[in-house]
Amino acid sequence: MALNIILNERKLMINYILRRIMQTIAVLICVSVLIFLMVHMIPGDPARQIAGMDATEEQVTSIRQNLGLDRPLLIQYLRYMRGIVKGDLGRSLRTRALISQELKRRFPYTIILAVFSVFFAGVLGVIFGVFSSVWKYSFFDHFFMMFSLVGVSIPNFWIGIMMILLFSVKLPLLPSGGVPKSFLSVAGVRYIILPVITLGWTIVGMVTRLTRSSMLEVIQQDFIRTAHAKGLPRIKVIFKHALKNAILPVVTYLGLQFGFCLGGAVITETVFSWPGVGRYLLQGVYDRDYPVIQSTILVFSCLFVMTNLVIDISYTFIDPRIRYN
Amino acid sequence: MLAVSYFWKRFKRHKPAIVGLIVVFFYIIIAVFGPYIAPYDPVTLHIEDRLQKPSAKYLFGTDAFGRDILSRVIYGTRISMTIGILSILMGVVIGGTMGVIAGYFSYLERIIMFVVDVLLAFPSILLAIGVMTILGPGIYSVIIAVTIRQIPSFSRMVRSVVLSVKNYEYIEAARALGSSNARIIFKSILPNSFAPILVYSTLQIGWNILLAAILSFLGIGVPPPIPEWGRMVAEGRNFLRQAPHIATFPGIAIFLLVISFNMIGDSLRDAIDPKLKI
Repeated sequence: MALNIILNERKLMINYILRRIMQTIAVLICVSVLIFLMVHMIPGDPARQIAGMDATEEQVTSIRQNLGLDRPLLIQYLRYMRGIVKGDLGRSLRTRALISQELKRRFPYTIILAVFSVFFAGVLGVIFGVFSSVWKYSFFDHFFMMFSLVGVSIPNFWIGIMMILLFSVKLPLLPSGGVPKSFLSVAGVRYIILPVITLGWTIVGMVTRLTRSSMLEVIQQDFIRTAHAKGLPRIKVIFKHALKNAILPVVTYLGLQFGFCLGGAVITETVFSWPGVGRYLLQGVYDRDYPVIQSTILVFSCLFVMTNLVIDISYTFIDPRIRYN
Repeated sequence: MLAVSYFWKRFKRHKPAIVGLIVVFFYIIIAVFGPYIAPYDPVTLHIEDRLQKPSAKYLFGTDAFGRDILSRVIYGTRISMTIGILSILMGVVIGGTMGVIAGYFSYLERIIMFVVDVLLAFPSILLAIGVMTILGPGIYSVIIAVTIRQIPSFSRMVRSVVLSVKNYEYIEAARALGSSNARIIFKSILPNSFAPILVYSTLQIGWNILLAAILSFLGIGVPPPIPEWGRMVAEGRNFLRQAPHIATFPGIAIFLLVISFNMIGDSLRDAIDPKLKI
């Protein structure tokens, strides 16, 4: 009987995972169509842009034919998707460089920024949230809650600039931008501090609130009362028993925020001249470089969707209380 | 009336909410009477007074073109408040309509929620950047970009509220009595969805104002010489050493407005229903 229940649950879980994967594929196909159509709605003629303003009409027509821009939209889309599957994202209109090479070169910088920002926000937010929940309604609780409200209200581009003003201009302790030759040194780490705080700052506030509310729910449970009654030290009860059970929604939220950081990196990379994909996209927007805009938004969206899918699926393994029907 | 006074009593217990209301009211006054309050024209150049520090003549100093920062911050209030409020109203109407249809008519739910999932597949800022690239810079383009960004979240929120409300017994009773779908939606479902929509809208206004500032900071939002706060911060970036006030004051203006809306939204949620998951 028990075995039947377990097998049934397993079957439901597998069905749920397959359904989510199929749904994700459908969403990604629609995302690619939407991005393709969006880029084709941008005003201007890419063939004219490549040829230059002085080019003749014949030269522009010839470029248009070479790039396949005179074909029906459906054919252009299918050619583009065929290229994507082969790993060919096209060439930049401005530099003629392969976009895939450029993304390969830049992505590690964006990933480093996103990973460290999420880590920073997670550590700080959990610490604040735990203390806030343990000392509920105290001065520290009000302080951390106000801090979290400030975190979600302050524009992160402005806080980045203010930190440059304080730590790079007034007190020249940290560099105002750029990247080091290597991050594996004290000098190298100095370059990442301000960008990470700028990007992670907003998330700290939400993580603090989430940790606090999650901890407050867990602290009221009977097993915590039992742990206290058994005479366990308070610190062990909070960090070993309560936090372990309260941390799951926080970890899920941080995983989702990784995807948010990939998109939000555009701002941080602009403020700190960080050579990531976000800055590459923005340059593409300024230059009306359609292939760059199309490919970078597509890659970002795919990563975002896949991150959400992985979080969703991993949750089914982590939390046995979830029902899949 | 009794419900309203009960709600108001609970709301005003939250001191931050009262502070937030006062600050927002102050901003509304500035937005409405800005042209009469601002000491200078926000776009007039005073080249001989460029990069002046805050002084009696220019309370917030001047920028690289000699324009008075205080006047530009005051005029910028109109821009930000217009974008914040209009985008929320449009988001509520469009997103709310989608949410009500998806929640009430189950055969349309899948299609609408699939469209919402596709829009949610884009990181918010990138979706807004994509829309701005198509529409080009301008206040109305920013309003449209910000509205499109929030339509999926409004749809989801309203749909979940409608799903819970439509199963109440009085809805079944209305259906049994022969009420049309339109009547049930407008007379019964929407009034009961009002509270969460109000809370969510208030919490979103701050984010909409932030997003508009981000787009302008990146150079693709409101174009110069219109005094938008995000753009002013971007312009001040190049003069951090000699004139840090150019970037400082517009940033403070954004922060105070956004935190006020967030404080009001938080307190509204606690006053209406602390268990509300928004």
